[in-house]
Amino acid sequence: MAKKFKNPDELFKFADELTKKDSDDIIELRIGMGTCGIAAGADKVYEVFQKEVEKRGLKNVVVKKVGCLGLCFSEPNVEVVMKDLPNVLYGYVDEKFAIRILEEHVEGKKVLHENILDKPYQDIYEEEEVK
Amino acid sequence: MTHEKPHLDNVADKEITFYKAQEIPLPKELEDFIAEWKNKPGNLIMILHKVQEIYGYIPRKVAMKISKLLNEPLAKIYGVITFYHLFKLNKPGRYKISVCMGTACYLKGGNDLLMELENLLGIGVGGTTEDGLFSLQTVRCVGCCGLAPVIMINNDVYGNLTKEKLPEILGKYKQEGEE
Amino acid sequence: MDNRKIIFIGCQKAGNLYDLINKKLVDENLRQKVHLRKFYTFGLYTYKNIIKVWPDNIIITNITEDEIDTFIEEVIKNGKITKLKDKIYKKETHPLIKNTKVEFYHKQFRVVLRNSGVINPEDINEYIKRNGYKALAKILKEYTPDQVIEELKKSGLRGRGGGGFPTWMKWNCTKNVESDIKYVICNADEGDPGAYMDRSILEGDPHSVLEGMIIAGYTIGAKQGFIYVRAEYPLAIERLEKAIKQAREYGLLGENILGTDFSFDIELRLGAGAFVCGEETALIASIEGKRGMPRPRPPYPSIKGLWDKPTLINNVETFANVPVILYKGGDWYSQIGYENSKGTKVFALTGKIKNSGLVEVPMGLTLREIIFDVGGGLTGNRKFKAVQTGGPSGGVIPEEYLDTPIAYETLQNLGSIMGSGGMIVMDNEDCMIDVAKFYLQFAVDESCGKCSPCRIGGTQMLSILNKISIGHGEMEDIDKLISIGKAMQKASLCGLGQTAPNPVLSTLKYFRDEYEEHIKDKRCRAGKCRELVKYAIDPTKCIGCTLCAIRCPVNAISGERKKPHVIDQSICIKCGECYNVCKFGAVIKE
Repeated sequence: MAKKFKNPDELFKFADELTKKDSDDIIELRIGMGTCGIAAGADKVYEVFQKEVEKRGLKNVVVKKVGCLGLCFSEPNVEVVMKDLPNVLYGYVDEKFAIRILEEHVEGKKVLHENILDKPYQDIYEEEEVK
Repeated sequence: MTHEKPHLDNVADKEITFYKAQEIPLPKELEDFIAEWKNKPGNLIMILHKVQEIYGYIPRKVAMKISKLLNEPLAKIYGVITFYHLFKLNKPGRYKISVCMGTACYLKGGNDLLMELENLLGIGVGGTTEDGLFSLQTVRCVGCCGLAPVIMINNDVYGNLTKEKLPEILGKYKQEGEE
Repeated sequence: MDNRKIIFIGCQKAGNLYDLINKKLVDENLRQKVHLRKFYTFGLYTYKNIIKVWPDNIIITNITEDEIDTFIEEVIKNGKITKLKDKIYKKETHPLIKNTKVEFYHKQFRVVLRNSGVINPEDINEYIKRNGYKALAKILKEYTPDQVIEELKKSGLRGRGGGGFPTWMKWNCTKNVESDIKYVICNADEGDPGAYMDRSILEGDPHSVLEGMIIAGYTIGAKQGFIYVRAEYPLAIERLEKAIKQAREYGLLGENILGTDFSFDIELRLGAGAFVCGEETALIASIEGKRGMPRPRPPYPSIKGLWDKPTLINNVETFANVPVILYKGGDWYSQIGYENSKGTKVFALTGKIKNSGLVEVPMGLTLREIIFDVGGGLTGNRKFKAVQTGGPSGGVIPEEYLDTPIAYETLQNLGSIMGSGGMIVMDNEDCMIDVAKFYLQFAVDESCGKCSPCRIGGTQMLSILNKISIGHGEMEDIDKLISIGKAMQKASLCGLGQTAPNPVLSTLKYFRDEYEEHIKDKRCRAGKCRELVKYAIDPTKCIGCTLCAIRCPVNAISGERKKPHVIDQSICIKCGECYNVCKFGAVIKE
């Protein structure tokens, strides 16, 4: 059960703590699961990831539902975020390809050269204006 | 979801009178919901949503009962029901087929899908098949334009469809329905 | 206004690139002419030293220290790139993605969708980790309501629901009305066919909308908010409910938010499928539990809204912008955008486009850039005909205006509107009369019937269009369409009726020849208007396989095996079956 924030500063503190808790070793698999992602089969891909991650005992892998990535044409989409490799966004992921992502990208630490989508936009929270 | 519908099915629409409608007990889920919302202003639409969630449509007897419970004239309740596309006055089929008629689906052949479904099922828009299995309706944009053209069967979305794929999809549900 | 370029410098692998550029600019007295921003991650996986220049939208990769002078000379001083040309990012040279053909994000800038696709929408902690609710905390700690409005004014944010009314003015107006009870409403009744921006925001980042509403509540002095959301969006409703519950547990909603004496709560109200309920007065009637019919304005909802109390109504996308503006500042926000249209806009790019999907681009990008760069062009490389923006209230824009920058005013000048953000691309196989008919049919179906210009005018226009599409049109019908349309625009009670003729009037404006062709030549060049199409068999291509003759439901096709077949026009019912089944392209539409 979450606690209630008693003043604004508690929220800032809580946010800092959350950021600190982040370990570098965490590998995130972000699966686009808005209505159209699910319609295209993202829920099946999600299940495959969950099952396989458990089966392989990959403790540092987080399988995460995220909202729409906007790339409806290439659903289901999966983004892999891990240390030492660039964030890579895969499209047209089916159950077979999901396993390849786990084996080759997550475990083998090698980017698959198929179905990669370009993502050159910067994150507004990771920039700072310098006056 | 299982819910008891005591007495309700035993009373035919023809026989229903205001007096009788008041006697009908409602399922507990609905009764609780009405109790929760009764004193909130603007509750009518939310209660009608709940009724439709439970019955699949809004039975006349339930509308009468609600009229009594909320102390609103039945005419006003029907005014609201008929204004909004979502509220139905007739019982839908077990599998509700919704053909998306949003712009993207329309341009990519949504109308062809609708015509083919009408042929395959032998019913028109708003109709229900005789076995009570399928009903057909059109909807304004399911919001999966990237997958156009799209149909929805209950809550499952089928995208990138062609006429040729329809018999197989219907067959799947038919089989499921007969089991 | 601020015309300065924004230079983004990638800092993760860039070493001291930022410092060098900064120093150089100061030395040359150019520092005040640009904005410099550091950023730390960037999607261009393997490049080092990346610089992105706005609003030119160029990305220069692998720039070396020696090249900094050249960079400043060419990019900042002259604006013409020659020596660095080879270093401009092109997807063809990208080592990882040269095999794929997608350049979807290249020109995008994600503000509203900042968290969508990054965080788990069902976990409030992930939102907080991404600076969520920090704007609210900051405001409750330091800002007066007037300061919030001042910041919004600086940002230049305008309503994203279609109207484009300055957001700060609406907030200020509602704030200034004396009343003990006020309401905040979020309009999530996204009814445009072919648009799903709001749904994606609610599904991908529900907390951003909640935070925007809470800030609004604090600013105008309201204690209660409502989200009016389409019942057709079950997933969005589920995620909103979860988000509201989590926010309450954290003390971000409810009594005494963050320990202050400000209290605010949010409830969901479900729409029931009526397009007119996107209009604010109709939406209010619907929340009140009545038939969703609009009423005349004034009084505006900010004076007399829900249950006759002052009410602030904004759309989902507008609210989702608010936390970022207050977190990063109005000045930051106003750097993005074009003239009087600041910030970004989310569009649902659909229709005959390769990369259909949800895109967020800065205002001022041209339609051509959105369709051909972000969207990747048309499917099957067919020829572009028109793009429709603004749904049933908007209009079509033909090819010659594709270089128009996207902004509220520019689109309006073309006879269309920004609308909530549907963008539907059409090719040569789409008939403009058919498209106009589709939208008008929609408006007629959705008209609530309260005022006669909309109820009768719409029906009359539709019957004229039907007449033209079956080949019974006369030339004076065009004038009739225009005069009825203009009357509807002037005399209808609400936005639905006032804008319903737009699709017809704008297709008439740009594709009048197509209307005339339907009327005079009884011909539909796109082959959509069934009654005007004639199917025939090209004898040079037909090999006499008999497939079409077998499939024809009325036996209108005859011919000997292995010899060209013929269609008997007097029997043909124009179902198009022969056209669809022929494997040799021998059946032609005329």
